[in-house]
Amino acid sequence: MGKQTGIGNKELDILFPFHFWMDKEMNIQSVGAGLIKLFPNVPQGHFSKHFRFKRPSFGIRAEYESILEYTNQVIILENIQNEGTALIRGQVLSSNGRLLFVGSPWMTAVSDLEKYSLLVTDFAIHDPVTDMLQVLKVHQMGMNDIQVQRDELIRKNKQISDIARFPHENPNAIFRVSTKGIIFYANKKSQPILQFWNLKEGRKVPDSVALAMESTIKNNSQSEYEMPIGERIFLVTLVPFLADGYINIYAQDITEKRRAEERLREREELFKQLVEDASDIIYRTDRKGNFTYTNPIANRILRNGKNDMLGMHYTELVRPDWREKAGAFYQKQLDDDVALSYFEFPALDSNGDQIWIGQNVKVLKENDQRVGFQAVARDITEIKEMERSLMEAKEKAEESLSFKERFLANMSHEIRTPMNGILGMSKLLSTAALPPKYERYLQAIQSSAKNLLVIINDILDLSKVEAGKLELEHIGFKPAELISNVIDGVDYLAAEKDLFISWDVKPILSQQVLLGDPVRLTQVLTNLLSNAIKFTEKGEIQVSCSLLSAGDGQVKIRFAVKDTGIGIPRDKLESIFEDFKQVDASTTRKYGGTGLGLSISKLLVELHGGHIQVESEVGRGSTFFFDLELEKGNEEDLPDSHPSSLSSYDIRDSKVLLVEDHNVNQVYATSILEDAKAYVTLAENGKEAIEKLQNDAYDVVLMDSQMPVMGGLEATRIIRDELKLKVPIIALTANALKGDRDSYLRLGMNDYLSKPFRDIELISKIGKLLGRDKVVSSGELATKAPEIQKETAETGPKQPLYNLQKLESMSRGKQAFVDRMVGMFIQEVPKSVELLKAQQIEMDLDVIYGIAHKLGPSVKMLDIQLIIESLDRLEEYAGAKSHAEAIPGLMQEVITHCELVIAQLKERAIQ
Amino acid sequence: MYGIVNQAVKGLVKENFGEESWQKIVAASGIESDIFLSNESYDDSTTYQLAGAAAEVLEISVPQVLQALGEYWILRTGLSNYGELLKSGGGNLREFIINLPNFHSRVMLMYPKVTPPEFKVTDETERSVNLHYYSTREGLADFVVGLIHGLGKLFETPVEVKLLESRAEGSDHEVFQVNW
Repeated sequence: MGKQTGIGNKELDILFPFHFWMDKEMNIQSVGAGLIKLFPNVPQGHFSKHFRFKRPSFGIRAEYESILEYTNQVIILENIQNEGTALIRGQVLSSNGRLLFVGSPWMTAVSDLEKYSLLVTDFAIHDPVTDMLQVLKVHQMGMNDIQVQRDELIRKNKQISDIARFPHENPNAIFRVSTKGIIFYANKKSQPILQFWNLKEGRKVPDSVALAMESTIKNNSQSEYEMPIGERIFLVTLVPFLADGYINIYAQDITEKRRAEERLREREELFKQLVEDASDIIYRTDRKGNFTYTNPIANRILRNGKNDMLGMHYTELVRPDWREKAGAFYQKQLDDDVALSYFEFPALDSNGDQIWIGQNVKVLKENDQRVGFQAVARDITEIKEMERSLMEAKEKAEESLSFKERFLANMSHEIRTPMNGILGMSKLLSTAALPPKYERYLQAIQSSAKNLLVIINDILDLSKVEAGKLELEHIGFKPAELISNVIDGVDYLAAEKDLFISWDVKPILSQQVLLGDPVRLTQVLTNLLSNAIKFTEKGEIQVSCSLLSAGDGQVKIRFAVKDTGIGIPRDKLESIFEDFKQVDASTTRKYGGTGLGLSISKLLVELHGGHIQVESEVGRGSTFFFDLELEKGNEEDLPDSHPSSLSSYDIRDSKVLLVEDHNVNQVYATSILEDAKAYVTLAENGKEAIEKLQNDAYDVVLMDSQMPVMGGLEATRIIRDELKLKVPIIALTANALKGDRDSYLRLGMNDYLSKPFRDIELISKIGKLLGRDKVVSSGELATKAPEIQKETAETGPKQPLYNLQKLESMSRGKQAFVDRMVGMFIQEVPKSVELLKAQQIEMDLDVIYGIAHKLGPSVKMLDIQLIIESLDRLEEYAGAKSHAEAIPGLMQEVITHCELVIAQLKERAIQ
Repeated sequence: MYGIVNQAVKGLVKENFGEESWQKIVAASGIESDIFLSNESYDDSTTYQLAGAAAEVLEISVPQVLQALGEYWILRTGLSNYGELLKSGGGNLREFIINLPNFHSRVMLMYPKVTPPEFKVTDETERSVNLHYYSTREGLADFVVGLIHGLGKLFETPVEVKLLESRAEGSDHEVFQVNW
């Protein structure tokens, strides 16, 4: 069914320039001018050669009958040869068995006109296509604008959402509330608060908030308050924006901060309490040292409870004479940047009483800047007092210890000096021929003196070992020889008791030289052997030295002393080695001794690295033994001059200055030196010695240590330092304890000889120092003398009250010696006699005792038999202050006889 | 698809389920921005993503979403944007449906970037037609059902839609029988 039209083709072409006709077979028959312009090839051929249906696309076919169904629909055609070019939009109608398509090209942009080479004039005037293109253009422009704005909007949205994170993701709760109280914004963090209020956005805030808002609105200014929400506390800040009708509310959860503050406050309270209740003084000062805090105890101790120290300078409390010291101490702490210091000082409290304070001071810093000091101090007055007492006690103890040492040294000197005289003189005396009775007396004197010397040596040795001052020698010795000498030394004791000493030294050791301290080993063995003899009544004593093992350069040997004596109970075996311990008190009474011998022996063996032991059975005997590991030596290690050797030095013609204040020692030393043909000059003390040295040259000086006017040490110092003399000086000293060789050598002395000394020792020392040759003497010095003197003794004069026999025997044939001793008697005794005479009126028994005591040796030396006994009694009675009635007679007897003897001696001198 | 479709989805959700649901859907869909220009062409995937996300967030099926969208498209989008134009598409439901093919052919020309579906009406009676729906897109048949219902409401004519043929059942297009 087509629509009928009454217009011709020309009009049709004007009205529809893009039309075309088709017959029933769909062949294109007539085409409008516009369409020809658009698709130049369309005028001929079948429809489907040129077009395809764009719309409708389903169901429609390129057939006449099919197309008739779509005359009421928009038809859109696409040119097949020009795909992608303009679509033709139109409609179909049938007319007289033919199909007419009328339409227009469809374009989407104005530019399409040019693209298809069309002009506006190619379109029918009524056709709105070109106008629509203009509309499209406007629309497109609008679209472009919108797109730009859309992009801007998206960007802004992003910005807004980013900025919105500030409130939305803020860690604090943020609300925006209208001035009427309606919540219209609440961020994430505010949700718990809203939940607590049981509110949502869009609802009204609680009354408490509304109240706060009221005042904010009224003042139109920011306000703050704290708001509890359950157990939490919020700091709420309200910021009004009244012009916009709302208030921003910021709520910060300050619960933890408040709790921390509370904890801090509690802790501060705790520390404050600790400081306030402390028993120590605690204070702080500023940088300058002015108090900024003092605790109550500080006020109590230093200010009698007054809290008036704040602002006061710390030095005001320090005792005035200590202020400078304290100031300097703390200045140094600052200068040296020491964090903590301790200082003690005397302080004065508000009453002016002294308190000793000991304080730890810490430098307070803030940002590395010193801001002050903090001190913890304590009243140490009592401690100081205690310290002082302790110090005094210590000083006293040290004083007493040093007193003990001095006492030992002095005693040693005091005892050894006369001992030197006793032993020396008795030795000289023993060379004389004496009646048997006196020889026994002499032996007794010698034995007693030796025993006394042993005791003194024991005490000194023990002191030395205890003081760690005893050092061992490391020189060669032969064990066999050592044992032989030890036995020789005590043989006479054994002989007295009919005891036999056997000895057994293994052959391998008999000639072996070992290194050690033979003197000390001799001392130990002598002690053991003496004990064995002492405690054995019958049987024998065995001394042995056996080899336990031998290694490279070393041997281990055992010394043993076995006796058949009384033995030692088992329970005493340990204690006998202790100081002053014997088996029991009765031992001391019966056998004598000090109880020091074994403890010294034990110490000496231990110094050698050994250990002394004992095996014993009561009633059967004891064996003392000790093992030593000693280095092997050879002949060269043996000392040059063996003490028992007879070799000596030739010191003849040497000039010796003897500095000695003690008469007997003067005589003893002079006689030895003169016998050796040396020239002796005597000086009574150090001062005299110096005078003599200034005037004359000497080869050697023998110097006593303790002398009146000037001692030997002082004299030596002057000789060396002031006189600058290099003359060799040998110390002659009884200072056996402190008088160690080293200390004398340090003072500038060259050698040292301990009193009492033997003639050969003195000569050897001098000879060695002077580099003199060795000589071998035919025996002990002056061994011939006694024979001569013996004869003299038998034929000697009896008439005088005195007897020079003893003196002459001591002189070993030297008349000068006798003369000098006699001269000394004539010079010294009258003084004593005069003093004694004075006492006949005074009767001071102490003085009388002293005179008698002093006269004794002289009287005995001249053997004035008539008054020896009287003088002894006088000394005894005066000393004991007894027999007062006998004293004047004895005194007169002594005076008379002495004067007689003096007269006789003077007469003799003239002869 | 033109932005107006996505705009319709947005409007539908916001009007019926609120801003919050819409934001959730936007977040779930993964699209970058929910600002759509009606006359700008968007990739089809945007629409599919939004529909899928809406079904997920609103806990309804995708067909339900699409049918709702179809109704909304007519009653809200169409009326507010093309009110009179829409109504000029026909005096009643029957006329409007019969005019649907031309309507879409015109749309195709007006929106050259759009590939609109194609409709064909057959078996016309006074109270029914068979509506043929041809589309290059998959799965929008429910949208068409929604559209028809929307039209029924627009023309205050209760309507029934019955699917006679579908691509899912081997046909090359969907055929709905629309009764009123």
